Amino acid sequence: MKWAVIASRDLKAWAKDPRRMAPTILMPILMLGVMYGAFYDYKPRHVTVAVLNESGSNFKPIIDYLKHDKRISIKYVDSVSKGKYLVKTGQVPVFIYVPKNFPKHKATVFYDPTDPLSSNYVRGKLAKAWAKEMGKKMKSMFRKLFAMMPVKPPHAIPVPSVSGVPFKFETYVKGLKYFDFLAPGLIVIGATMGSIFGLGRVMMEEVESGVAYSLFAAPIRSRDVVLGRFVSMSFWGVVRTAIAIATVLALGAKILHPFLLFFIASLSVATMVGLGLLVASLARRSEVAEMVTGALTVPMMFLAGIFMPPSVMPWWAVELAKINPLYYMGDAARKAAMLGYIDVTDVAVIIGFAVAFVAAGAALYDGVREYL
Amino acid sequence: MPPAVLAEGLRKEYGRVVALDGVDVRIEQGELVAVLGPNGAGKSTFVKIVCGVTTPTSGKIEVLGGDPSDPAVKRRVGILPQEGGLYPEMTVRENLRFYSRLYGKDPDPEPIRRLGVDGFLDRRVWGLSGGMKKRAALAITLSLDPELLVLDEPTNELDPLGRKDLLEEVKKNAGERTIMYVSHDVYEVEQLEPDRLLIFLNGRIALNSSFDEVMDKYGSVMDAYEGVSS
Repeated sequence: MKWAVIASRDLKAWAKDPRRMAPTILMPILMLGVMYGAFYDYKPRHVTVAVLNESGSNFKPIIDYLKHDKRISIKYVDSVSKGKYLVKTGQVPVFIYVPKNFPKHKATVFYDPTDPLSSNYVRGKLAKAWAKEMGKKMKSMFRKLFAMMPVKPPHAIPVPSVSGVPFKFETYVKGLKYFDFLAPGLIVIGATMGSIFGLGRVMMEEVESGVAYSLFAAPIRSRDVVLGRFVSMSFWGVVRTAIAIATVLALGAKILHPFLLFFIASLSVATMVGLGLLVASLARRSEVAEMVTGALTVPMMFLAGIFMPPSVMPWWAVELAKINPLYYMGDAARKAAMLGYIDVTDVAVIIGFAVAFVAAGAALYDGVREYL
Repeated sequence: MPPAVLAEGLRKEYGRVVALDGVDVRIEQGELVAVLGPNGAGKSTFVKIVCGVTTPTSGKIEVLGGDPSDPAVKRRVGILPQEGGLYPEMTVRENLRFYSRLYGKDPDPEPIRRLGVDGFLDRRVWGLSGGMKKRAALAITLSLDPELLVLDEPTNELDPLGRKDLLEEVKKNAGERTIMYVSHDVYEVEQLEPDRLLIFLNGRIALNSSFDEVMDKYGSVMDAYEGVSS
């Protein structure tokens, strides 16, 4: 029964330590809650479709059909460039341009490759709307035809299938696979996760080996220690970023703007190094640092819209995601990689998180000296 | 010449715990002072304040005439912490280079040679025995020529011969620089024959006398320790 002595000691030590207990209790709740939110549905919560309709009444029935769908709302624009701009900046996932002589000339459906589920949903609805419209027209045509016939046919005449729809679909990157959607976010995760875990471990090892004591006694200000750490960890994170991008390119992922993606992922690395600093300074012990980091990073990954776009998450998951730096990093990375577009808001938020994390981490790191 | 350490009404609290409760002490430059006391008496907190690792809650502290948290003062103070303070994944030479750069000083090779550290300069610290690590850390600290040397329980993990060598090294350095020697071991302190003895008890200094006075009055450091503790 000697094992019981060990188990009893470990159980008591664990239960008495709030820094261990908090992640023990919160991690499974957070994990499952977050998974539920991240993989809630494959249909978008709500889609705004931008429309420029020059054909007037020819396209009206289709708009009416779309409007009838409670997940879709229509936003009218006055130029093609405005509609494309809204797609590129992520304000709407789909823009439909309907020329004057529609349906003789096809309407152009311009969609956002970074939100494939929303655009697929609208594309599906358009096809259904068109089929329904064609069905109505054929029905009326046959009714007129039958009325003109002296003898009714014994059997129903097969209705010819509607082949092709008067839409052409355009986007920045065609022929995307799921991996192409995932790749920018995975690069961000790959580059940043090592930064959080690595820094926590290094700092805790320094406390345990007495190096932290020597550093606090040395003629160097703790902010310079923090800055040095920040620079070195960020450097290795940037190296990981370059390797991750080269790997996904080698695997054939469609990344149109690797240098813009590199910029966003590098910025993300610096932010996550700041988070690692904050966690390590708070945790005070290596195993607690690892638990807290794990408890934080798993929900962060799933609530980042990296595996499934945020448009299919329930509203509360999206609200929760808004306090998640990875959400902005994933979004910025996809836009940079697939559209060549730097979202200033995303970048500003990422920088804001970096400043906040590093400032709080540096302040808390200084407090480490009190428990050495 | 300002004193090496001057503390007046020094108090340090950790939440509700009072680690130092009004410590007054003056250590002159060039003195070898042994600091004794049971666990939790406040000696480690006092060392942390002297080395600028932490700051007092109240009271006055001056080290070599300046604020111990000032990098210019820290540059003149050397500390050998209990755990050694060397990066385990680096070699002894790399640690020496790192601390030399941090202190902005060219290392003096003499302590490295004298302590026999030159024989394992290129070995990683994690592969060294406890005694070798301590010797390496002390050699690095001494090679940076501190005016005030603080040794926090330096003989932990050392075998008897290692202890003897370390005590001899401390004695050799006495007079060249101020030395604060923090220990649990009363017999070791008696062997050291410091200029002065400080005994901490419950966050205060219970005894502050010259070694000769202690020996005259109590006959041994152990008796002095028992005398002030009872």
